[in-house]
Amino acid sequence: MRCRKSCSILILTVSALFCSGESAPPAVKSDFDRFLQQLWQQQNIVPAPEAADTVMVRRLYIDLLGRVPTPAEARAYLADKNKDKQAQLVGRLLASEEHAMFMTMRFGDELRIKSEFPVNLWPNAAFLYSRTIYQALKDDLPFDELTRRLLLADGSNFRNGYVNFFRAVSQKQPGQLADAAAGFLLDKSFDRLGEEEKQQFLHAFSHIRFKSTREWKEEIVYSILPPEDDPRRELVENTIARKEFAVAVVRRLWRWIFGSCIVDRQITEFLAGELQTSGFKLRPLIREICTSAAYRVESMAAGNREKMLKFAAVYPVRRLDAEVLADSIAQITGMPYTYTSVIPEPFSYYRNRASALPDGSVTDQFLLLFGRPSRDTGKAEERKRDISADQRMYLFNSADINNRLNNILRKQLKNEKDKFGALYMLFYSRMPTPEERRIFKEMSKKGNNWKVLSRMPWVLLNSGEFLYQH
Amino acid sequence: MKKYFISMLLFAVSLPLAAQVKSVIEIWVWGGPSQLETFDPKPDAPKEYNNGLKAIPTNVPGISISEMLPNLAKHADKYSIIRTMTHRHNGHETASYLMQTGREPGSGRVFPAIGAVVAFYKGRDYQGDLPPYIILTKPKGRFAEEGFLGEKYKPLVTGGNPNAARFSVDGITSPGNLSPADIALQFEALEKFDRFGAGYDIPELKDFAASGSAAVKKMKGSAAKAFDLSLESEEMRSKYGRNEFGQACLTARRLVEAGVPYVTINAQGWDSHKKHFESMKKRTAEMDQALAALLEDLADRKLLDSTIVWWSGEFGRTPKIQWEAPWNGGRNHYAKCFSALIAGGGFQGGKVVGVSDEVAGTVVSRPVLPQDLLGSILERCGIDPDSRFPEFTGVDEPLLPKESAAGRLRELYPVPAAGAAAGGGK
Repeated sequence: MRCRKSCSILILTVSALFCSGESAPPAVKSDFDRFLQQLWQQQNIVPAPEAADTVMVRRLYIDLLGRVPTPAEARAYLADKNKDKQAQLVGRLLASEEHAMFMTMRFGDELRIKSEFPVNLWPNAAFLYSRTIYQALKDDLPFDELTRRLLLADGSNFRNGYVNFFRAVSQKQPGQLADAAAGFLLDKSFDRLGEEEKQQFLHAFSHIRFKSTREWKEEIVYSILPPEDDPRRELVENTIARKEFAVAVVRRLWRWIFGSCIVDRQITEFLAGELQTSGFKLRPLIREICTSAAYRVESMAAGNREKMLKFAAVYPVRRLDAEVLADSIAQITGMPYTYTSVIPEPFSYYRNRASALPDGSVTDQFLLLFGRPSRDTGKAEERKRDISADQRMYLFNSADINNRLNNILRKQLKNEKDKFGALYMLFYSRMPTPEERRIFKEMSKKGNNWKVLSRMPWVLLNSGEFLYQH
Repeated sequence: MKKYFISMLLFAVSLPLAAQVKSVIEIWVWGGPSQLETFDPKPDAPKEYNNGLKAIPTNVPGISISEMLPNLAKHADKYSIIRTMTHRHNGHETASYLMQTGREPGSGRVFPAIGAVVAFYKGRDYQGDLPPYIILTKPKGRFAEEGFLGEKYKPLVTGGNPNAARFSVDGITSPGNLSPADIALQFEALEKFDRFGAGYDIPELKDFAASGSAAVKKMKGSAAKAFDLSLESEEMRSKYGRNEFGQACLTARRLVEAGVPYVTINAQGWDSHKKHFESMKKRTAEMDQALAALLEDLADRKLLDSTIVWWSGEFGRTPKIQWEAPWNGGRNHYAKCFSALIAGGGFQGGKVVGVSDEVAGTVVSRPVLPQDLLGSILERCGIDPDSRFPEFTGVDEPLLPKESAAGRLRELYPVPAAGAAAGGGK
């Protein structure tokens, strides 16, 4: 079990850098953990060791709230002696408005919540759509019910937010509506449905019509058939009853939490079963995932990485999402971003977080550069997590970023004694290791202590440990 | 059929020359500049139209422009004036969309602006460190200019002030408050401290390392230099005018030298509903000096033949002055008849296209629609405006709507040297 012994000394030293506690295999705490353990044994996989508290607290805030924890939040977690503290933190985060807001962003990407291009959704319809989803998530509306509300919706898109599910499709033909529905119900594009399924989907949405009203840009979505004959109902109910539907929900959540969904089907099916028994409540499922051994394993491990990722035996490393990066920078530097919408006049200004923007059309160069999805198609591939030279150059070189970074030592940490340590807490949610303090001392030897310290915010911002979720 | 044949022949004839056009500079006179105080003065009209302003002769016999443009009057041989631009949208948003894309708004799609189209086609031959479409300095921002061509063709908006001691372009020029020693120190520190993932074989982190090296290489390259106006002489800087617009024009010339295919200068402040004449005085003075300097400079550097310069707003302004409150001497939006200017890229200079009536209020002859102007620019860039959008967009439409009956600006296209049958004029 002590896999580390066989590893090279190099890896030992490096891993010591990141996990301050001793590394042990992930503990078994739930049925899902037992299932994973069996799976790993079957597959002959040694999972990555259990990640340190400092890593876990950062992970949870990023994945559930869309930002790094504040130093106070991180310290509170690290100081907590309760054995059950991780589950407790997950519970608290899930119950917060911030979480509902962040999940609204995730749903908004797939539900195409966006004004104007390409579907000419008027901004107030986009806001209503966003607000409706937020309210449903805040109330932890079961997913099957949310599905019914969206896919069976009709009425004015200014009055019933859900109806924008149909209104925000780029072309109002049955094929396009069916594609949007297949995406939501089965996490699949229409092309990938079976022949029979395709016909069912096309039939279900061939009776949807749109008409405008006398109010500027308002539209009514309606079915030409009476409710009892509406074929959407049968399709939706039959689909909800299928295992595939629950699997699609799990796949979606897995993608949001772990950044991709290359995970083995046995795992998604296990969780799909749990979701069905819990009555399609999302929060218990997220809690299950975020407290599981799959979530608690380290991101750095020796072994066949590809296979370990497939069987959730190592935590995937990926660049922070555009909005998470912007919101974290705003929080760390104490300087929020302002977003502007030029449609319609008079211009609207948003001083809220990037992840809380209600409309995909409200954006800026930063969010575009870091791959915020355009929400044109609702497909998961729209979100880009690759890293480019232009992104690095922006972070290295931007006057705006530099101005923000200068604010940290000048204002944020003005009264801190151990500024070096405080910077680590701000960016990494952990204190520096003795080795890091030694490097700092060594670099500061030439009497340029302040000079080196003043460059540290830039160094930490541009480091892999900050820019990546790990 | 015969007409079609001739137009094909003309397109073929213009191709070898068109291939020489490398860049376009667009001077976007946002807000709507008055045609009467620029390129279509009406000195003989009643005072409630011209406010007593006069016209002055230019260096081309028979062409007069407003007395507010004395410098440009010396260079009329380098540009041609279009006095009969016309369309039907008097709102900024819809008119901008139309003038930028050549398309009527409201089709359910956002078509790409001409800058994105040129960047897309010309960008294929362009290998520089800078993006292919750059806007100085503020975003136009009324619609997504890249349209369905995708984010890659979204313009880089520089921000910053080119007239400041240092023109800071976020992410491209260095932040400015750091000495080379500081910068070296921070990169040294980054290398020492950033040990993330060292010793593990993780593909994502290999990409991270590679992107960092590529960024450093780019930073050492020519990108930032194009924005470094301190490399210009004081004399050159003064020639363009020491104001934001003037220095933006100078920057545009540097960007063209660096090979950037499309540069827009977003000249703001022309929406003169109130106190029109006071604000025009300042605007036209800056514009006159800078644009004249740009044309002269491009010509001196032998860049004018390979660079198209066009100047237009989304519309013009009402010929009759509104003296009543609350305007107190203003002009309103007016799309029925307004002026544009085009130069370089082989377009003949020293010509006037179209005739407006005695108050510059209606087109008397030779109307020019937005798609005619934009189509001419594309055609001179060697891009066929009647060809279809690339397949990946999923939009099976021509780059521009069909040209109007009066057609593209063929009367300004270069005259074929060998005396081809079709000729270059009308």
